[in-house]
Amino acid sequence: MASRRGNAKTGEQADKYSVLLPTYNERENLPLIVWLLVKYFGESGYNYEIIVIDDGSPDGTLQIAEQLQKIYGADKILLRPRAKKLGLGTAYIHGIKHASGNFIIIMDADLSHHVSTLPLKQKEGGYDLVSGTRYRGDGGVYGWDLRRKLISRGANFITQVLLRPGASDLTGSFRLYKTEVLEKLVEQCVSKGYVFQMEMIVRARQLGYTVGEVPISFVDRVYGESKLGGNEIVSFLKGLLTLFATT
Amino acid sequence: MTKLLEWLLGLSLIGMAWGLVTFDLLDLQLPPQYRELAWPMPVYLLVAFGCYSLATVGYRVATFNDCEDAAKELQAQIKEAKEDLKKKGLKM
Repeated sequence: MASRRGNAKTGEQADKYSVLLPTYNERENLPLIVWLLVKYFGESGYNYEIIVIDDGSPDGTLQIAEQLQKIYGADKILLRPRAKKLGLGTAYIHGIKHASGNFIIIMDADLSHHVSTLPLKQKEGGYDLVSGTRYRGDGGVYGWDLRRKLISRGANFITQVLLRPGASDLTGSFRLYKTEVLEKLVEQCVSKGYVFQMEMIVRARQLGYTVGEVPISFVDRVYGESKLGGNEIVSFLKGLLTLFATT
Repeated sequence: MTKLLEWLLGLSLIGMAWGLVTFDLLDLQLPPQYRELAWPMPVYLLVAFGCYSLATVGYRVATFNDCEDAAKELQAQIKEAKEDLKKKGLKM
């Protein structure tokens, strides 16, 4: 019996990808992200669900999410909101509890990538974790001035020297994890914010998990400005030194 | 072992080796050329590392990909998405 998708491997039917979208004031971005996800997953034929974890956004993100749910179906768009802004780590724990996939995809609500590259790479090497990188292959950025590129590469260089993490891009948050791997890692990681993302990869390597990479094009926030001021740099260094001393 | 401890261990070992040779702590009576070479090594290594860092970061900044195509594609997709969603009944 010919498969609709052409070249079906029986394993593919069983894999399901749960996309976790923690949101806070993403009223403008959320519909676009969801639309892109639906488009790319639709084209790829992978089985998926999108879990929107809204932390009580005052701008009405949840209402937009409800509309999207009506449009795309409650089996594809799950809403698991929380009362207030509680942080990334707990958002993941919360999301995992409601995820029915054997793979979890994490992405910032403001990134735009071809999400199907993640499952593709994972299947290639059977990786426990696949991470998007801006620094390898044809990965890159758009609209970054020299200052920002310099800070980014400089910070990454220091990170590589100090942590030797075995991954080229630690602060990205476009990743795919096997569900049980993510569960294990979230248990172990204690940092906050994007340092948390860094810690996840460092710990993953320590625990012997395999990490694959895919190049990603980081096009800046669809709406709004990304901040990279002195405060950000200081807190990055603090986070880095903490990881250096504790992992 | 944490990275910090690894570094401290590594630096201590190198430091000891350097101290041994430079100050002849084990009374090995090494030829003076060894001592002359060893003595400024820490500074040489630091400078070498500094140069390597600058060159590496400089190269990486210069070759940092600019994704023009991805940005264009995204803009087109945003338009498409907005139209499609409006058609499907989304009120933004």
